[in-house]
Amino acid sequence: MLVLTEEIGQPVIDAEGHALGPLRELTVDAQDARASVVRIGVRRGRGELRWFPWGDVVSFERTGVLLGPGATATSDGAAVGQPPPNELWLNRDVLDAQILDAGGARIERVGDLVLIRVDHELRVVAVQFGAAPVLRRLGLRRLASRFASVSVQWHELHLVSGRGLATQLAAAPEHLDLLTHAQLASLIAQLSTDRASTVLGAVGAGRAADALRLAHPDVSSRVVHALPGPFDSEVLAAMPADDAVATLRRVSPSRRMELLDRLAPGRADELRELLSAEPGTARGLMTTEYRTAAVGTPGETLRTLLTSPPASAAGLSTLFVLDQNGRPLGAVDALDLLNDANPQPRPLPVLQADTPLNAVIRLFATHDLRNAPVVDREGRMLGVVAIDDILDELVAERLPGRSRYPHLLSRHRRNTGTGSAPGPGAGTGAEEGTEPTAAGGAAGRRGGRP
Amino acid sequence: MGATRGRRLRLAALLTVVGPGLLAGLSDDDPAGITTYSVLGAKFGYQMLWVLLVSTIALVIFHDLGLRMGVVTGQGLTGLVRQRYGVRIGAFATGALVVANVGTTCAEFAGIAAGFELFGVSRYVSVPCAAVAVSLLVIKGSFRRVQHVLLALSAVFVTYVVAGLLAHPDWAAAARGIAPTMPLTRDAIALATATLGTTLAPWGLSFIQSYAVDKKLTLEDLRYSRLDVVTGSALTGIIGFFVVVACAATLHATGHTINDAADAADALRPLAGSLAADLFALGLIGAAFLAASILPLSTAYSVSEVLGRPAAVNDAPRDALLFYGTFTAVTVLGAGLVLVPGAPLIAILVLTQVLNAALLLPLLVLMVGVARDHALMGSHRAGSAAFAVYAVTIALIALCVAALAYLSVG
Repeated sequence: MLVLTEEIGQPVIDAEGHALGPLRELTVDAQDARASVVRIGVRRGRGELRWFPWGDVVSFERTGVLLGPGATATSDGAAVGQPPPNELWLNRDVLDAQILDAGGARIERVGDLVLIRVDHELRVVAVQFGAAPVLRRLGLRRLASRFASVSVQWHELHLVSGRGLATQLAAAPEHLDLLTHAQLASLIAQLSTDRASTVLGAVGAGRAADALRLAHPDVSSRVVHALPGPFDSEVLAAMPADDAVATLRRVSPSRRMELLDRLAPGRADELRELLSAEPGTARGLMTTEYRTAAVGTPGETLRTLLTSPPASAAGLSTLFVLDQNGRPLGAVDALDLLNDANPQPRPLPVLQADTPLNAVIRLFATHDLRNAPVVDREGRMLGVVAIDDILDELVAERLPGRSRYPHLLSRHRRNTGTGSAPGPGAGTGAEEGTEPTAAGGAAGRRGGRP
Repeated sequence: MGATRGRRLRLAALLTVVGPGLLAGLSDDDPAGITTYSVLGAKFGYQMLWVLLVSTIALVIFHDLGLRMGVVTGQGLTGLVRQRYGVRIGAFATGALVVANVGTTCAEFAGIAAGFELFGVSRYVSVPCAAVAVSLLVIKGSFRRVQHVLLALSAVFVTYVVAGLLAHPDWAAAARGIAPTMPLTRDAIALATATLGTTLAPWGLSFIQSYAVDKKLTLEDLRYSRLDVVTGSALTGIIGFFVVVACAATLHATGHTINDAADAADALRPLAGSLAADLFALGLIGAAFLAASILPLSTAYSVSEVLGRPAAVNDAPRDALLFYGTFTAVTVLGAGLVLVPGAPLIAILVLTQVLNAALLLPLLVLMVGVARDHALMGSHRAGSAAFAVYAVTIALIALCVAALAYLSVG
């Protein structure tokens, strides 16, 4: 096993025994999952880097790098030209750059790279971070040995700063698919706005919407504000209505108009309608995406409706039964199916459109609700407030920063065993068998959604 | 109607980006800064006002660069230095910043102590209270709350403008002071260098960059952020101007000599009236409090950045132990040193100023190196025209330091 910082600087010698200068750079193809070194860069003093293909290297030892007879430098001093843009420079782009430690959902800085020899290849297997590699590079080996070295496998590496991010995104955007929605949300919250916008562009509108719906509305609004059109409105269209509204409320009025104008007319009107409501009221919190059934629908049909996949993006677990005038009479929850194959609607407390947030919270607490219909003066159903909409409001006050995510993430990791580095709260084995909250798909949606 | 609306939109956009430039600029007018300006005015009258103008221009140039680097790369200064120059230089720069910042924090708390003592409040009351207030603000507060409190605190600088006006300065003489003339003595060069050094401080440079990152400003915001930097720097210069003018009109005219800002406030009493003196002292306390909040914050950003740990005021303390730990350690050390009976405070403050001055030049060179790096800055890399401006400014500061060193030795 070799580490990059101990290889950089060792002399490179050609077949005739001429010293070409110290080794300065190694490159790997960003698309290559095995991360084999493809090129080495040599530079004497302050001159230009001279590049040699890995095939020219005869021996790569701690004492020096020996090149084969074919590797005599050409007239311009290099055997090959500049590396193409899809190559990552390990010293410049990776060492000391910022990465996402997906396990701990934090941004870290690369302390060193671990390389191994496989046959005649040199492969990067992991990057190390934390105090140990830094202290070792500062020459404090004894102190360094007191700290455990933390590492991320190369294939799980997410570079998030500088050229590394751009190169990795350009070469293998599907790489980001390994992240859960919550991990993506946490990454977005920590990155600078422009970088966050680049990352979301790479994952596509659907996943971007899933990440932003989990993110704090302050985060989602600042990122949506920076997204390029028409991608910005595609993301908004894919977000649940209530999260889209929470986001739109926080962007500037001119940007809000621009975003709404780009949406499909029906969707735009729906969001405008929700936006016109007072923010701290039931109507300001509600979503208009819910499922209904007419009064008198037989239990058998209710069951079929509930178990059929929802038409819209919002994951729906509750069916509201309305009378002829559109007034809610009761609701059937997916859970009701467990007790009764043909469940009857049970009455639910309703919220007036102008009920203030505090009264909404009280009602939910008293009746142990997961969602409640919102009605107008005539009692007609307007929308649904779900428990997560209320939590969003409460959490906005209490946990403004990244604190939102670790809970989601550590829970997810306990269940799936993913995550590469041990972090606080990981691997306790508790809550075995719980549905992974943060995972994608309809099954992983927040339980409180109607 | 349309024009008004456009203007209102622009104002709204400006208000959302305000902060880094104003706070980093104004915190440079800390007790050490006020002391330097007071001595400048008391010793040389209006003659060296132009030095303030030069310092303000240098402040605009490098704070703008710092902010741009933060926005473009999404990283703080020490982190970028580590990525560009390696872990050794990164660690060395951060270590030097930490030592200098602890010393400077100590100077800020000494300013709070001196300011309150002018009103008869013991330092054993004022300093611990200030330290607790600063810590609670940053540890408990969200980014938005912290910024609001700090910006509100900046309003205290108005006191210097009023104090300057109350001193009835000779405006014609002040206008002539903009022309660059100075006696070529060791004292004059030392004061000119000190003024440059106290206005353009290393911790201010690292603060503005990290704060812009924490504020999550975007490339689109840069246009307005530049206005924030220019306003912050200009206000820093204007406040300095009124301090110099207040001291020039009174202390210099009557031949008073002073050693620090508290002296100046005391000496103003018989000359400009007790209102002017009280305002001057009040300004000193406010300035010290602002800087005492920003210095530990700047240090915490730098340490977290170089190790790549999260650094955000919005994070809960248990998610960002290094960030808040550094913040608390610097605050406690800075405040504690002021309270230890018999601690060599004067020596600490002088050594801190020397360290800040010694650190400034290499830090500026590292900054320009990063700004020129294509891999980090991409298309926002500093071009040759910008590079020439940075080089001339750095050369000017180096010239001042060299002249001072030559005169000190000779």
